[in-house]
Amino acid sequence: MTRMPNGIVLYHYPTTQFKTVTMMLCLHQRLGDDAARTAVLPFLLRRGCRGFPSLRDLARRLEELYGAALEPGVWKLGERQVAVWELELAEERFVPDPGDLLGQGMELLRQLLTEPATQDGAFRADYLAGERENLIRRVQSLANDKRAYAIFRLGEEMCRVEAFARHQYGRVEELAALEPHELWGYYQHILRENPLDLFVVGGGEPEDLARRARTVLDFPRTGGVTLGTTPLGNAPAAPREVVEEQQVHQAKLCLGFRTATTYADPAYTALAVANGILGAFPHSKLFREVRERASLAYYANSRLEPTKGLLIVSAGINAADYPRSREIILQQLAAVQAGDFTGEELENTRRAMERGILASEDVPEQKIRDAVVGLVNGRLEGVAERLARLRDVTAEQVVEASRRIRLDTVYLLTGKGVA
Amino acid sequence: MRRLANRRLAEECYLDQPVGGPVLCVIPRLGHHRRFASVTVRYGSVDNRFVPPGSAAPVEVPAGIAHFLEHKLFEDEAGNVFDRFAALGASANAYTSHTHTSYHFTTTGDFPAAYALLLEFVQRPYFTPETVKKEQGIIEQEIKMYLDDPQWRVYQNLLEALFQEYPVRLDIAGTVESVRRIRVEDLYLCYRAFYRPAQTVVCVSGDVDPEEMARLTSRLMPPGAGEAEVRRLYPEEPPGVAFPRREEAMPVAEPVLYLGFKEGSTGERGEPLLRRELATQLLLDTLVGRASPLFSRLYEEGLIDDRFGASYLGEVFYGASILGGETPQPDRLEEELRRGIAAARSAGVDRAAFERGRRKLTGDALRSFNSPQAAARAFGSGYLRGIGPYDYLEALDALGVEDLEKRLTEHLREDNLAVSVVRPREPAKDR
Repeated sequence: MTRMPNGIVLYHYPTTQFKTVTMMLCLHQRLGDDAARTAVLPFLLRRGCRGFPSLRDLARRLEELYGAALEPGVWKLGERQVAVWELELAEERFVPDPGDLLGQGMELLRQLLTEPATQDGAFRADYLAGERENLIRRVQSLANDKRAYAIFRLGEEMCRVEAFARHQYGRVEELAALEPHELWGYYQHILRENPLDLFVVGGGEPEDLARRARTVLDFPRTGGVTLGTTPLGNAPAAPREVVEEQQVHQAKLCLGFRTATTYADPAYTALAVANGILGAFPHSKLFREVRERASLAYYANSRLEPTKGLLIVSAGINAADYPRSREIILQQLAAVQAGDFTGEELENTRRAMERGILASEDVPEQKIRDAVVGLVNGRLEGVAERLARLRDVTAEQVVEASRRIRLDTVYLLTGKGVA
Repeated sequence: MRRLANRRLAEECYLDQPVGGPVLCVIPRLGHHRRFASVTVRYGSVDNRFVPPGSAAPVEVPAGIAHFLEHKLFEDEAGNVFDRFAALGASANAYTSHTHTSYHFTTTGDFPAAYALLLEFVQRPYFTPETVKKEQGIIEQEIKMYLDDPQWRVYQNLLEALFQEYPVRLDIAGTVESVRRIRVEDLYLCYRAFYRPAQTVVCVSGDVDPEEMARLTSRLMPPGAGEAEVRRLYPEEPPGVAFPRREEAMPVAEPVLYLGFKEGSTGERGEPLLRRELATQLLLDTLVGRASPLFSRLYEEGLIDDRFGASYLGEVFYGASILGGETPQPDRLEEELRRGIAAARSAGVDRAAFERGRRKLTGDALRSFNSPQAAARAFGSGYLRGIGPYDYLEALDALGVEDLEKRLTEHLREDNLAVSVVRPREPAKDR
């Protein structure tokens, strides 16, 4: 980790494992009323900059850089929003005439961030209008993917008085209200003040890379803003049930739980093991009981939202099987909470999680994303530490962590008039 | 073992092909944590009519049976195979495509034990009326999940519109009805016909020793005795599309449009097939890729976004170019794409765009070797089509603008074109 004079923090993972270098610039913000403003930025800045003023100029430039891939993105980690610019370039040793390929890639990132295409001293109105519409469509098109839609709706219902309810792209009406001058001011402010990290996987020697980054990304910043952590919410006294109807062939059942434990908590690893025994893998209770034994679903699994401390169970079922599926799912959680799991279930889960930690080392984007989750939760750990924590988790700790899990909301997306 | 290497990609692999045995490809990846292995059987959803080995009578089995078999192999007398992989610290999965079925695992733990389990379980069928019935319930849910997925529907509808006879038009999973007709005897019949060492490609990648893998493989999957082979019966596909247009209304918010051009020249393998595939992909990139004038105009007009794509599907017996994505105005996008392709037909291919596109495909080739799993998958898919793992860059170098122009006039033709649209059934709810 290197902090540059302007407050950009460089996290470099030197490796020769890959044929490409992956660079990600991550600009952090609280998830809240500014969500739409932050979300549009990665896409808007990708429309053009001074040197490459249109999408097409930029696309040509990327093709010249040996098919470099530039991916704008927005992550929602608990109540933190991260605007991401990812650039993947060929490692210089694999291309016939690289020149200073890495430096050119970094310079392109700098231009995108600091010299966006402008009009009357603000963002180009036509570019903003286009990207605003794209994001509105992306938010609305959530309805196209029923599984993701159901999971989002559950979070929205569960956290309806918390910032977490927001979509990572913000609300439709917030997106519709974006305006070039006001957004320009907002962007200049957060670019100067908010945390900005550069992650690089590959890319040669650390000192050389740090020097190049310092030279190229030397624009003035103060970096004065510190962002807080995500607050845990509480489950209601009695769980809520939300049922929504659409003309679907398959009903989607989602159960949302509060775990009272975030990634920052030392008990998180035990909670993650509890989640593994419950539903994260094909050897887990949900797969075995809901799918293999009861033949109710093709998929039935559970996952954690580590930063907000949520556990979400999701299954695709026949609408008529709703009460039975819900009952079997809750029985599986009760079994974990009662310590009703074998040593084999525990060890299989430990091995699967160990594989997950090691495997993400082989995928640059995943490695970076894991690091950002750690960073946002104030616990940035290396692989060795994470593996050691996992090895030390006991069955008692798993039971203890699982007993903090409370059902908050049950959401069912169900069919009408379709067999 | 035979070593193949490519200096430009800094890649190597080791091949072994015993007579009557599986093809083994080992891709060394020193320093990677994860090790990966796959067993790919040349048996997919299109193989539903065949003459079983040693028989003279052709049979036709219910649609979706290759996929059903894939599910069912994960269960035997002792129970669920997933649990045994889990006990070894490995994670296993499988998929069925139109042309093949592939079983794979990754592990950071005991690789030889998980490898032995993979090769054993695919050779040990176990089907009973009870387990078949249970699986029918699970697959029914899988089919219903896809019925609600507009991306899958628009793709499946397009294949049904493009192909009149060829069974690529049947859904890989079959239908709820065809799956209910599957019996234990059908599964054994198909298993015995297609699951044979000589019909199998085994890929391994990761930090492993190739010679040791060859020894292990010949012990775990010994060559079959010179048995008769299954005869696959594919119908003749007449020229022209089945329907010029398929539309479906679904409870979605956003329409999806796909255009497809059916391949007319099929039957080729190896170099000619690869050349055709690359020329067509490069042509699509120059016409509607990110750096094309048409892409930027359509993007700027709000008709497409990052989800728009264009790719070529180049199998031995069928092929198609497919382009499209989510759009607020499917009719206008269709018209623009038709018009753009027609304009290219008269203007020809831009040489500078061709050169840039070639450079981009070089970068894509490099990237595809980043993931051991993707490299192994590419080997399997290439092998089944007679294409070597490193033929790509050379074939790319050998291409000229004239190859693209030939594809433009021969393949991207109006009479090969079908359109598939999914539209919202009801106005999106205000949220």
